[in-house]
Amino acid sequence: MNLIELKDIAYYHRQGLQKSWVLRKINLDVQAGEFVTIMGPSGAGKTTLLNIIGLLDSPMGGTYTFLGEGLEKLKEKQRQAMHKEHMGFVFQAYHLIDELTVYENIETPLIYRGIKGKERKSMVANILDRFNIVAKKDLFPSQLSGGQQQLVGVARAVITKPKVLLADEPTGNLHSKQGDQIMQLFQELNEEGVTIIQVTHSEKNAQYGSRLIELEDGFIRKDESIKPMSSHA
Amino acid sequence: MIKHYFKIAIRNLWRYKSHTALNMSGLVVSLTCSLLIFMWVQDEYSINRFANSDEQIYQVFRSFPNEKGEIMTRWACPFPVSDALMAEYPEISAATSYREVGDQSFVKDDQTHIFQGTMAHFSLFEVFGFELLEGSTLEADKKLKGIYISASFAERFFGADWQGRVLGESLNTEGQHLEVLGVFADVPTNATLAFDFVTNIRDFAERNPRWSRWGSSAFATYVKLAPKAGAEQLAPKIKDLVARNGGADNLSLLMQDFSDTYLYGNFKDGQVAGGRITYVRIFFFAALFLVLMACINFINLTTAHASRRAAEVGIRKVIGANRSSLLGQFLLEVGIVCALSLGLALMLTHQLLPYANDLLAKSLSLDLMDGTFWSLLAGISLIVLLLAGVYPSLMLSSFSIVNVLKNRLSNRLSSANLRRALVVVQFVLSGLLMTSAVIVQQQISYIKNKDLGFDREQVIQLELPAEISEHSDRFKAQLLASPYLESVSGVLQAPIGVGRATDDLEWPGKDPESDIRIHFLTADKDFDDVFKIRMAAGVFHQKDSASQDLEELVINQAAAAVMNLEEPVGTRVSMNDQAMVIVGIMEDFHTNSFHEDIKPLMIFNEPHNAEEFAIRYQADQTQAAVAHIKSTYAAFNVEDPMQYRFLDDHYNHMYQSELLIGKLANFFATIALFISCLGLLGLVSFLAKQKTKEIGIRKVLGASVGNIVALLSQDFLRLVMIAFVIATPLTIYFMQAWLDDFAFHIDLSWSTFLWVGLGAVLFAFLTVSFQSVRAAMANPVNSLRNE
Repeated sequence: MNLIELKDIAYYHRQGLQKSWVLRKINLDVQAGEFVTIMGPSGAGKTTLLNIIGLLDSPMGGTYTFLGEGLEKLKEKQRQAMHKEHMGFVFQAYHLIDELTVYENIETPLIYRGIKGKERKSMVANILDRFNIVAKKDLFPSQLSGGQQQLVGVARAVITKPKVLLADEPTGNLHSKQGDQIMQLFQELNEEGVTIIQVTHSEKNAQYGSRLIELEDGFIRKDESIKPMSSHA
Repeated sequence: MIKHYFKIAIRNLWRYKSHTALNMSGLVVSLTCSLLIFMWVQDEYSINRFANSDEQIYQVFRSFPNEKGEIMTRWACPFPVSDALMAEYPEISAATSYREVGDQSFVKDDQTHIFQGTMAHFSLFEVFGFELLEGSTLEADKKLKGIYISASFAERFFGADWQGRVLGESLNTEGQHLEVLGVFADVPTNATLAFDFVTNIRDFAERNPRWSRWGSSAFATYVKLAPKAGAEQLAPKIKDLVARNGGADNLSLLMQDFSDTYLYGNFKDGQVAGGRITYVRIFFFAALFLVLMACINFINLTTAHASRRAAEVGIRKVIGANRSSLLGQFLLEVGIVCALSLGLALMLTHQLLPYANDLLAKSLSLDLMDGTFWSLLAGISLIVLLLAGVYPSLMLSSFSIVNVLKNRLSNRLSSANLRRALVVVQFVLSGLLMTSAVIVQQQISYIKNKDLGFDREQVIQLELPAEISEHSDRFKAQLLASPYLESVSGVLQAPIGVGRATDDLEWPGKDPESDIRIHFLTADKDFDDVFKIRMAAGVFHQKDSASQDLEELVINQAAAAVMNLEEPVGTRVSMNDQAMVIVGIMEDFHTNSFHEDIKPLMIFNEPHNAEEFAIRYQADQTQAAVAHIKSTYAAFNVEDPMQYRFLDDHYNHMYQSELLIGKLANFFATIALFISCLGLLGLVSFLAKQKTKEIGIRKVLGASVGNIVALLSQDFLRLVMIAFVIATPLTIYFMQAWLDDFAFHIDLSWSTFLWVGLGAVLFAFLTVSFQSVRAAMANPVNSLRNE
């Protein structure tokens, strides 16, 4: 069974009487465990597609089936619940909460999921340990480098063990060495079974994935499997 | 979760310190003021509502038509009223006449103690339910030389162990020996009645028959109704009591619930027509306004800063927050700010209480054990939380994730129109308060500066004790020996607050049906020198003493008008079989507050009926004059300490509530303007920040500092002006009503509104330019580089 099935997905902005199309007839299936990279020129609709997949936005047309369930029929509350349960997000600008420490940033999604304090503590401790940022746990985002902030961003996204990790230009604000580090982390997570869909401009980042999709003018121009670059290269 | 919210709330408040400070200072100031005012209001409401006052206690008033046919209502009733009420109506279970006698000295072992007292029927205790600790009132009315004393009187005079040894003691006061008949628990402090002893009013009535007839009114009258008797059914029955007993035909009696007498003291057409309650209400609402204004600031500043929080809202929603948890978070933040502000406000209130008590002439205290106080606090907090918290929280929590993350937070979200409307509301309120304050000040200065027709400067009023009354001529001569004292006149009272009036004067051509009442004073021939009154015709009193056969009489122009005499000077008149001749007509002068018209007045020539001396002294010689009066007084070996006051103070005392209103209005207006400007400051600094880039680009394109300041300021200034246009008719409506309460008042003038309006705009402009100039002066390179 496909994890994600998109059929004829369409999305547009209204500008007065005119529709300005962002996505037209997108058909896309994603299997569990894939590492998909979406590329394309600016304005091609990459981020919109990612938001639709992540249930942050709704398409104007087409159907979206997630884990065999048609999402059009769901109410807003249920969509939010699906989002909460299965999706993790990583942003180009990290989007950490400035007033919270590293520890608290990572802990917050657990709070919203009603996880008890003790369990929360051990989950956060594990992930801090795994991402090698234990020493930074009491710092605020502004005290970290970009790479470190994104590391926290990824940690926050995966701590709830999402099925799908959605990343919108996760290395766009980082220099190449930090970027490589994040991409290697993605590869590791993917090997552990997390489905990853990333949007990027970087050819190099695309090499980490197992599938490459190119968007242009709202259509899928190219959809091909690639042999992932070894993470230990 | 709560802990988490709490943490982030504190960090957010700390991070945006200036924002928090603006928000909190507005809240703290307004909460402090409103707390003080609410305490004052609560105190006002408690007056005359003591333990027993919810029972059927009523005060009896008398009503009569004046010269113009208006119905006047006064507290002073004829003396026999209370006895007659008691005798004729079974519905009345107790009745008393009441007249305060002021300070009186009691001598014991060469030591003088001064106590404030009253005379009344001894049923007074029954009427008000004041508890007798010792003694009883049984058959007591017959003991003319009896006295009841308060517990604190007993303690001060007889020592802490007074119990059981004061009854039957004889007290020595002002040449009389009075027997202690009982001791009563101290009168509650929240009663308008204040006395430490009660003497028998029947004794006074026997000694002063002229005062105790049906024809003269000088006593307050209180009654207590029987448990099942209804005041409404009783009222029509007592109406004509005075007329039926041979008093004036047009005089009718009415009753008012005693607990209403303090706040509802004004009567019109024989009906209760407000009173102090108006001021209590005005200031209650003014205090609410202040809270409202601070809440508006809170809303404006919070929504203006919403874009700062928008990113956080977006992220939280992405990582799983639902709307209600965000709502909870923001409400908690507002709650924390409220709680902190309230705490600070309480501390500030505590610090300011002595000054407030001074200003309000109260003895309010912050009683943290008082349940009402806490419910008041809870009420205020709830209002603030609802007004200031709910809207911004709803708005913040409603941001959609995609918009926030795409940085598509347009101005739409900053709810600029709502903020504009709220700024207008704020300035309408402060405009209303400011203009009203100025108008009140104008009326007060009119009161203080208007020519009264007599000169109230440099006059001392000195109370005459019995020892001096007997030798008043000698005393007067010794006073005048000083070069600092210019003239001295013995008078019944100074021409301030004249209430004594009679309808017994007869003159040729008087309509026998008419009940024209003429106010009166008694004085000696030097009255006109001391008070510098002007004569319109004839002369002032000439004789040194009242002559038995033909007494001199001086009247004012108003009296001459109502008497309608062709050639008043020289006309013979009479009163109670005493023949008199009018020797002069005085120009009208004010004998009462400006709330009242100038009334017909006559002055009898009765030098030996003086209760006080009015003494005119030389300018700038106040100390020397007082010193001379003191030494002269001392030479007469009077036991009582000398009691005197300055006529000017006495005059101002008449306008106590107006002066209080004036002070409070100034205070409110200042605070309101402060809070409004604080809000403006917050909004402009937000606007400047939001427009940093625009300002930078404009400057690169050649805009001057002036252009930029105008860009940032004009919107707000326009709002302030709109607010003033709205505030003006409101102010006219309220203040005209206030002024109409004065028989003599200023006219509202457009220039007042114009000047206050300009002042407010200027203040707003200064506030706004404080920020906008800084933004306009910034180097555009810096602001553009940030992008």
